[in-house]
Amino acid sequence: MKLYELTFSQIRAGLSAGEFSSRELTESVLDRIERVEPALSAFVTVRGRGEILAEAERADASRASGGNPGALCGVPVAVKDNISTRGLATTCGSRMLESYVPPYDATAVARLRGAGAVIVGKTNMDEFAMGSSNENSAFGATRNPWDTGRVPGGSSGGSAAAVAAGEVPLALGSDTGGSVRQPAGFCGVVGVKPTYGRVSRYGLVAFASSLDQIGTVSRDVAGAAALLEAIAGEDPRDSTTAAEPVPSLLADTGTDLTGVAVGVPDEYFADGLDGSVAEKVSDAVETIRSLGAKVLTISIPHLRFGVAAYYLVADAEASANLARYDGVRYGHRSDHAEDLESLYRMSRSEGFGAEVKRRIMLGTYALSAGYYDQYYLKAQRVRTLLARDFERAFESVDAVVAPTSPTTAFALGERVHDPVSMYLSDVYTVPVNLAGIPALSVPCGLSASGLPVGLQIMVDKFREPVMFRVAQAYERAAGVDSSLPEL
Amino acid sequence: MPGALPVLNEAVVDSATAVALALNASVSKRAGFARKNYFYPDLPKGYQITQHAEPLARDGYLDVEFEGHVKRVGIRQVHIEEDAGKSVHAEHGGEGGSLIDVNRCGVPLVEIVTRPDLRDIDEADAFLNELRRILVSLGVATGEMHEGSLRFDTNISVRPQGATEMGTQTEIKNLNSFRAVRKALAYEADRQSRVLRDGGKVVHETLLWDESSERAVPMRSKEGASDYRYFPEPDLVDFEIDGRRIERVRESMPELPGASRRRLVEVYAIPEYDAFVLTAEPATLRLYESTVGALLERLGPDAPATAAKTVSNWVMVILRGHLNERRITLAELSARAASHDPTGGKDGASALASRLADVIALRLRGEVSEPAARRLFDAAMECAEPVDGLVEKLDLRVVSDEDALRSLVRDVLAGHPEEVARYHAGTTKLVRFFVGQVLGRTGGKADPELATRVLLEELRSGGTT
Amino acid sequence: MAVERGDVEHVAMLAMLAFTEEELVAFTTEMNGILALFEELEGVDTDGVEPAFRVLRRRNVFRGDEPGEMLPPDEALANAPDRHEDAFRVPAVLPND
Repeated sequence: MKLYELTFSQIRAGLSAGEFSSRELTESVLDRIERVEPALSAFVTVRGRGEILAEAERADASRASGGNPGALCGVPVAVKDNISTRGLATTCGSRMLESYVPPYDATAVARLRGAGAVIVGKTNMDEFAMGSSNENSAFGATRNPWDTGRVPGGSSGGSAAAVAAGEVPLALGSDTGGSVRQPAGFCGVVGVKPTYGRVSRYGLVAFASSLDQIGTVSRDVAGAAALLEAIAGEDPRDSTTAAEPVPSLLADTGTDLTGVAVGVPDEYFADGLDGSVAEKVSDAVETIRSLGAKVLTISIPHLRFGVAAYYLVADAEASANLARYDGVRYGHRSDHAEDLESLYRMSRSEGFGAEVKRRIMLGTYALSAGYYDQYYLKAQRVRTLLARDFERAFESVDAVVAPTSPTTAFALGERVHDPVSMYLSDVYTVPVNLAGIPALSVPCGLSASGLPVGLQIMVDKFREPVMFRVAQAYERAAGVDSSLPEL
Repeated sequence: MPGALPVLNEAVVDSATAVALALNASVSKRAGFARKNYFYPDLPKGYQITQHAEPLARDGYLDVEFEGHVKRVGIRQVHIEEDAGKSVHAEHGGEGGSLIDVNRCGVPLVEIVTRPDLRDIDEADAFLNELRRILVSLGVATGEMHEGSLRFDTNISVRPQGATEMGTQTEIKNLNSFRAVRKALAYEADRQSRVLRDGGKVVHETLLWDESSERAVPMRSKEGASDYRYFPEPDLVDFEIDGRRIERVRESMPELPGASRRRLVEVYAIPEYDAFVLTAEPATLRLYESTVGALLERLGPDAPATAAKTVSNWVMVILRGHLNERRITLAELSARAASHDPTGGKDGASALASRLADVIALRLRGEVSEPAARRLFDAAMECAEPVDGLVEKLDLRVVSDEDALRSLVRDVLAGHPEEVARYHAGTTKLVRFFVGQVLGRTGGKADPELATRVLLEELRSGGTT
Repeated sequence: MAVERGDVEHVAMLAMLAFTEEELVAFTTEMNGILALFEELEGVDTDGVEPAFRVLRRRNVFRGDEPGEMLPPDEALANAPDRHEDAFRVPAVLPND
């Protein structure tokens, strides 16, 4: 077995037992990137080999000097390209920010560095995190490692593909409406969207501020828990972070789920759900039941309104968040401008791709005079109803399980020209962001056509430990094949 | 920068609460922020964080004394928002254009919005001056307009005489002085009147005041471009202004200028004008009251009824003149006085008050003449020596020896036979000339009253020489 | 309620975006399709339901009145497309008529 094939749990054991060094692990990972990256385009930027290996050696030295190195010390990590990294380009997958280099680190990145993680590079994404396929990247679409004719999902498709292909064991993504969970499901890896406010958004380039949350991508549940523990917690620079202390997220409770009540919402298994996805998810529910969990049928009545409410809220916030890209202080500036207004208009029109413009237009429209009540305010009221659906569910169950997406990875080009069908593919993931609750996607096997299927586990706010417990019990019991796709 | 987030500074919540209380506004229990969306180069995020649906306070008023009556100006709301940057025209640097300085961006400020209650430029001016005095006394603004610590946006509309409906208003931004407000209001009232007289319609728009050309230039021209698409700011959480905060702010608030003025008139029996001037700056008011206190201590029961008015004259005229001549501020003078304080225990204001009271006490006891007292004050500000000692050192004690003065008078008259003759011929105003000569020979130390009396006696006894 | 070309042009003006003639026509059709999806919300009874806006109930998050760390001007301006000393340069803000 090659070092790049190891999961986080195996890496942690190997590093602390001294079976291999961070330098050896990192070299293996970098070789893997060199070999598979041309077929995948999972990264926008990979840092220089020399700098990366120097950091790995520092981690080795710190481990050798004793003390108590953190779980991430010397572990290679990739960072989605909308999370600010000091001195390292942060493009957001956009022409607009092609040459933008942040002068500061996002809080999550600073915490990763503090924990000794080795940041290898920045992963590809749908432009400004707007998309569900990674086809909206200005730097070329990322491919799904399981079938390079298919999309990896989005918008954290680069992070999911990189982890799935063994280019890196851990990665950060961001999840505004499913952008970590959906690609994790499509690529057969674990993706976590924490409680809103669990992780600081400081330095995360904003798409929709009330929905955005930095999340994790990993091959195993243990990796997700370790990565989230490292980046979570209150941040004085982000007023919306939660004051709640971050508990230990993953106790080793084995596979016993006795005493855990799991709800399965009818609405997630209705029309539009792919047969092979339904089959795998139902099998997973049976496995969970067999581990001692009590399984109940529940209802999320407003599920089908989630997509409309989500896109209205997200696009309205995005229309303001993306107003700062005007060609004045950073980012693309048009060469064709004659005056100030044309500088704005030309720079924005040249710098943004089609989907970003579409969302800015929709969001601007939803907030404009005469439409605010009908669209934006209505969507925020429906959001309350959806959040109440979950509150009611969590009165009787500890976790809600459902498919992550209605289908497996679709073909490149299949939906990119049909925004409505693309938006509808987010139906199972957006309610979580609207309600602010945490959710995790864990692989639950391959479909008949050999594509990964994701099982989504949702819990109440700040109850991540239950989510990880169910996920890890399932992961162990199911014995999901953790071998890498052939590339 | 992409990814940066705002955090609310608690001090601005207290400042805004103090302003709201001073303006008799009702403070909301809960307040929140919104984004106001528009593109402008001095607005780096493309939106301004402000308060829209949930301002900190609403519905206040301010009573302004204006031309002998009290004018009540309604306050629509008091809210917090972030400052924008500033753009300056690039004259150098080759290609022209504008330069954007974003250093001020995101700094919190308190905005006060009035109701359309002001009817002319003088009223507006009186209101703004009173508002400025309040803000300075609260410590919310330094009042230094050129530093941008206080800025005005004005809305103005005109209507034909007798009309009951208000006309369409325009807003003028970027007014950085009282003078600019007057100029801009006059400019815009005139422009709108001409538009209406020519049968046109005033367009509701925002104008920028251009100080150099003294014109108001439209900021945004396109119809409908001012659809600000307000929505709640997701990056900030709501905040509560509970009773405890209000009490704490209220307790830390100083007496407001209006109340100070009424108190000064009542307690010290000084004219309203004096009270008005003395309360313009909190430091001046403190100095005045400490000086009166110190002076009464020094004079004891002999203090004349006019002592407080004398101090007022000293603070308003002599001290002000001293500062102006030296181009220093009251704060600087106070610091200097403190550095001269032999005990080292006094703060600047009380050290200054103490020395000022010493000088005025000598003057009121008749131990120094008025010009000598002024010289004494100037000298006392430059050194650490006790004022009593300085009088002797500078030989400033009044010459009250009548015999010595009489011989001096005789000398003067003897030296000016022609003038004496003209005096006797009816040019009585020459008395001032003779007194001046006498005082000059004493170096200003002679008591001018005594000198005048002796002089008149000598002139009357006529040509004893 | 169908959106017309003029509406799209107005929204583009507010959003500071420029579209070609073709893009405008295509976008008008596309926007109507997406708005039809949004209009499904009309069927939801939201009488008496408060809008959510923010999902956390946290309040009163403040910072102290002290200056934080400052970016040196050279770093703050490093990404500027056009810089003059410590300022960003743009075409004239006020028209030079």
